[in-house]
Amino acid sequence: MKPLPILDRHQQQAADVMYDHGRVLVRQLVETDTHNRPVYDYLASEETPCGVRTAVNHEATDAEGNVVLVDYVIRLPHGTDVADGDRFRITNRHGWPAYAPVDCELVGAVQRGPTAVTITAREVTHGD
Amino acid sequence: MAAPTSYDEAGFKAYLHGRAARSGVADAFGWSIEAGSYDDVVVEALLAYGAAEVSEATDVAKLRALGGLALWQAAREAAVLEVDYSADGTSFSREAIFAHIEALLAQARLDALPYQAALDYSVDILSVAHRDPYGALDL
Repeated sequence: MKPLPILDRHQQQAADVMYDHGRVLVRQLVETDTHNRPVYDYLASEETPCGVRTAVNHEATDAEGNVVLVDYVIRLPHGTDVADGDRFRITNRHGWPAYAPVDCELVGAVQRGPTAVTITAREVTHGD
Repeated sequence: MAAPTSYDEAGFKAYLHGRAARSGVADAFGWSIEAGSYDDVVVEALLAYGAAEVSEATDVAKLRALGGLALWQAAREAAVLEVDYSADGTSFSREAIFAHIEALLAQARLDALPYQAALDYSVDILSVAHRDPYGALDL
């Protein structure tokens, strides 16, 4: 099938209006503990532009099929490497210098659309 | 600052790029002098002017007017695919760019009108007779 001739332009236009920044926190096996069990951690990848929308009463379905409220709907540039088990750190919004980074866990599946990768995320409030 | 009395090709392209850059069109379409984005615009302007080289076009006001017309015509062709669309939870009103260029093109047409000899517009004033249907008949 022939690709849309304007798809590249739309992907670029979508990226051009991402005014926030963040990092994908990639879930990786970092070591094994004394009982030889895998220990995972989240390693920050390079900062990427993103479009963060604060979600109000926005529901998403998590991996277990539970419907939960999410805090953010985040658009990432088309082709961004992010998996369902990763986390996302919002490092800046609208260039505001005093913004304190927020770590989020992804809720539901990563949605890879024609112009952007969309994730729904909830702030990490527990210890890990 | 003195008004220019002549242009060379590089100077005329810089003028065209300045107009396109001020309106944001150059940025929207990725136009630059180095990429040759204005080569055809210069050719169109020269054809309309009737000169073979930019340096031969000594009427600067005419060259600028015809250059502006060629520039916005080229921009309109480039903007054909600027359409409104929604994707991945975001909507884009790109047709505003097309409307913006249409307005600039309309103004450029007016600016270039005095220099388009081939059109040779003229205005004839015709007498108008007013007939009142309720008035007395002139028998």
